[in-house]
Amino acid sequence: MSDAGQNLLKRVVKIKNPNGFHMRPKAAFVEAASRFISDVKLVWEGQTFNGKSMFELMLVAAPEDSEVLIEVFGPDSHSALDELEKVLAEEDASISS
Amino acid sequence: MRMSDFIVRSAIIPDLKATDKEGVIRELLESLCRNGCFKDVDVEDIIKAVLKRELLGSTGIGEGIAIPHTKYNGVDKLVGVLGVSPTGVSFGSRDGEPVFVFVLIISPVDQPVLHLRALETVSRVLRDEPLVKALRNCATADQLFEQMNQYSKT
Repeated sequence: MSDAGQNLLKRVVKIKNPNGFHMRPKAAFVEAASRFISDVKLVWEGQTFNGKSMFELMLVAAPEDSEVLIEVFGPDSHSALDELEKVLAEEDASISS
Repeated sequence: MRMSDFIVRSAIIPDLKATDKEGVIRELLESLCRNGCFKDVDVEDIIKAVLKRELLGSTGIGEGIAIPHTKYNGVDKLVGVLGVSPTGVSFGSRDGEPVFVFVLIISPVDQPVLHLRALETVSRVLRDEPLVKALRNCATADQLFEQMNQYSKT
């Protein structure tokens, strides 16, 4: 998908992993987010966290069935948002700590 | 949650001797074991479990901090131990820097929310750079515990 212009995109994602949004999916999320130019933020329980910072995402203790909001702003926001949603879904498919 | 809710005070190690990843994990877990945290559990088996988790990706989160952990079937409550390495240990951290402050966490398999909260608590407390510096300068386990508590506010 091509990205045109600067767009703030938001998408709510439900955490489906029985272990919640644990450390490994966080690492995968940070790694994926860091590949994009766009700013990536993750909102949970009213607080906003830098999606490219492992330290910040460690503060997101989102359990199974909770929802997080991904916010992406920048020139490659469309592809970033799609990729980040995919990363969360893939990590949800594997269960480990 | 506060770190003192699960950090076993008597197991804290202010001067880790180990110089590699496996050695540090072993030293921390053996300390928890000596302090009666694992009943009817083979500590070698927990060491293997923590090392297996590390193979999935280092728990070194950067800034000289690592939070090795696993969920383990044989434990009935969340326990953790704090350890400081005077020299730093190569831990495969995200930022490639050595790790000086370790918090190892073992939690029951059926309490994932508690596990997430413990990791969040540790990360929140150790985001404080002055605290991490202070922890690295503590000479005794008691000093480490007191420093940790001073900053570990909910």
